[in-house]
Amino acid sequence: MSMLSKVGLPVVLIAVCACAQTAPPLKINFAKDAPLELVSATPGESRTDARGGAMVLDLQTSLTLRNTGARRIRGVTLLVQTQEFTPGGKGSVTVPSLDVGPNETFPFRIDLRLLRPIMPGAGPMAEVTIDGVLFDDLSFYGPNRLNSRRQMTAWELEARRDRKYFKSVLEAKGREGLRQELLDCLARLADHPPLDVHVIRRGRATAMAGSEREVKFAFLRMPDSPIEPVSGLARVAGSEAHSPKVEVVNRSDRPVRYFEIGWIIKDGAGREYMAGSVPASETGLALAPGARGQVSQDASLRFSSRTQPIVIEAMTGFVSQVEFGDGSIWIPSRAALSGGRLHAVLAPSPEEQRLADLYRRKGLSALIEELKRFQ
Amino acid sequence: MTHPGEARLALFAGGELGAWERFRISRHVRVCEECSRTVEEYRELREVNLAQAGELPPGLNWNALAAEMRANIRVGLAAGACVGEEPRRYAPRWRGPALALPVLLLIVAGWILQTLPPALRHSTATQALPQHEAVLSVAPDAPDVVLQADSESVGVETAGRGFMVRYPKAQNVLLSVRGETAVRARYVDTETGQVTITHVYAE
Repeated sequence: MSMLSKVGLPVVLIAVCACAQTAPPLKINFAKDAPLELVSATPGESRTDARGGAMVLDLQTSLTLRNTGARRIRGVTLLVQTQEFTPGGKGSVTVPSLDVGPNETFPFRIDLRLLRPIMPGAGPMAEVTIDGVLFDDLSFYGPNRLNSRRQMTAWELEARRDRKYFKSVLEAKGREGLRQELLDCLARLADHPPLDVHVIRRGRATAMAGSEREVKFAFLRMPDSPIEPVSGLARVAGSEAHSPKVEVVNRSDRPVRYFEIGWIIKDGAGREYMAGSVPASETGLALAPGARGQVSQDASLRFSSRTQPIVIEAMTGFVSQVEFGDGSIWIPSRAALSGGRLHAVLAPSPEEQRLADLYRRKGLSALIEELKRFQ
Repeated sequence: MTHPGEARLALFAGGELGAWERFRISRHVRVCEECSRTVEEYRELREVNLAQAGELPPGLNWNALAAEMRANIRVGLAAGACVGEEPRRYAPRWRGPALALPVLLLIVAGWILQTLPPALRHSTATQALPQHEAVLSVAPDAPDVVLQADSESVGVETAGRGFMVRYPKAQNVLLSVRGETAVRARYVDTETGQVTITHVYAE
């Protein structure tokens, strides 16, 4: 037998496997007409590890992006797709509250962990594309597959609302008043109970059928909300809730095409957690003025905090976002959020979180300069 | 004149040849004085040996003696191998392929196992995510989609495949669920100072 057949064949097979695993791990694919340009992509501590019959791949990449458009960028959402790893599964990384002028650059970090059976694959393991770019005039660029236009617009409106509020505090109460606001914000962040969420679509996870019961939502009323929740319930067993349903009525004089109901759960000790939101269908909703509609979801949600399950005793809902037929967005006012239970339960907004972190790291003067930078 | 060999003359003297050989050599010995003298010497020697054989102990077991000799010879060979050069072993030509064959079979079997439907190996993949608790109620014929969120990552997993968006340098991670199709994490990146919001979606 020749040397090739004795030694070469196994070596060739192993080499084929190895080559298959070393396909380009991350592909950055921006459209030519995109207002963003990839300046650099610096790989971090990426590594591959085999665990049992699975391969775990960690991909860390720090991107530097340039605004090649003529308008200031307020937010960017990048879509991450890993077709080989999770057919149908997608991820996104959004950086809101940006203020990037034309030709300016900014960092963007992507840190992924991919898991799949060890087998040869072709092509990149993950592909990164632009889902949306929001500009300072609230115009939008991108395919918007994740409805990032609506979400980034809502965050931008929240950011403007909160900056305006902080400016008003500074004018009315001076630096010390602003400092107190930020200390309050930091305290809410620190006190925000950690919540681990486990979602299983289609059916119940582990709950015993015998212990299941219906729990009705209580609703927090917001005077200026265009949508009013009428009723709602979910089936609850221990720390699991599934199939939540909420019925609403459109109190405004404009058609509504999307809304979200914020969802607060309360445990047996009376502690409340912001669990998430129940969104209306992303497509096909057209709620005329005065009409009733319903949101529901077919999933089981299991909640825990510091590895301890949260036994759900009660649930509260509130309208957190509405999109009208013309694409304009409604968000709760600062006054509606500041009073009562919502202030204690709701986490600070993304912009509050950013500004509080800036204050913590660089002090009050840097924060005031940041507030002045945004007009 | 051709003389018989020493060995044949010795055997002739002892009467241990066949009839034909004995006749042939007896004819030669009768006419050859030299060979006749040699045969006579062998006969005298034989008489002496027979006289000494009478002095050996009675009932001697020759088979036991032979076995002991063979054992001594083997011990000697083994001792020689310890101090001497290792004898060259016989290496058949098919030894290399025979060793490579199991390795090949292992690789091929592994390859085949990789291509099995992932649902068959769901439990293995779940074990590969040690920081998350395992999901217990998956219908084996329906690939459930599991979305997870914790203080280190948000992730989606289905039938042994999945990915996570991680945030190792995050401060004050806030988690939430958006309906049945997405989980969200919000945090401040400690290096860039940017508030960052990550989602994973299942369709």
